[in-house]
Amino acid sequence: MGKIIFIIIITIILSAGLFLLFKGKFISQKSSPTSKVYSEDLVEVTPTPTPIPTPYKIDYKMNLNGELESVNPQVLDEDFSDLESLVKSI
Amino acid sequence: MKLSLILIFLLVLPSVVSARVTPNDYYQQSRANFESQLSKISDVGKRDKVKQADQLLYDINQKVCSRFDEDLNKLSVILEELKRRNGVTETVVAFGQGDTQLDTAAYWLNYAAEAVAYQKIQDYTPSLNLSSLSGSFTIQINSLKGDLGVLKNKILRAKSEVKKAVDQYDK
Repeated sequence: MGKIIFIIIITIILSAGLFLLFKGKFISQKSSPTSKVYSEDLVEVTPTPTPIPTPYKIDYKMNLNGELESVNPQVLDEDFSDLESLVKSI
Repeated sequence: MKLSLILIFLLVLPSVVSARVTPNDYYQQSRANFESQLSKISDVGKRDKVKQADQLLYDINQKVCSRFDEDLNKLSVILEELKRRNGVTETVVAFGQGDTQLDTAAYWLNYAAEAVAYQKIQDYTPSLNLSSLSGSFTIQINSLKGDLGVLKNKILRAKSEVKKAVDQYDK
């Protein structure tokens, strides 16, 4: 009698486990954020083409230290000015 | 009882693992949330401005990264010329420290280039708060400014390493 009850309990647990397993897969596929992006209700955003850096050539007689001085990475306020004024107007 | 609990745990675990999300999923999710919130903005003019601001965030990141690419391109050409003048054909770098200053400069250049490539794919989609749309963008603007500032410092580090190499080898 005890064995039968044990087998029934194990069967129920296994069934519940399998159910949860497939349910988990089902949910993860159905509500996956990846699937949402293809849904028709999304607004299409046209990507801006990425500018290609211009090739840089060096004169073989040039002073390398002088060339180095021209390398000046900057994040300018001008870069953000249009965006910031737009955001203020929202 | 313990056995039952263990069995339940082992059987539930795979379903949890199967729901794991990737960085791309986070991106898609943030875009979906953005579009969903965007559709709730009734004022068409305001909605257009929000879309435009979102696009500008992306554009600024790409534009500044493109400038940084040009800076790295220059540094790379300078280093290559320095190597050519000194008859060096290859660089050996391990754990950020090369045998020579030329190697170290090459390492930091590569490090900065990878950082720029990583920055280009960063997502600054704002999490729109309908009660404070400008605030949602301000958070992302500050985040973008901060990230680009860090990136600039990485390029400056590469530049200083190239300069050390030039000072040492170009006499």
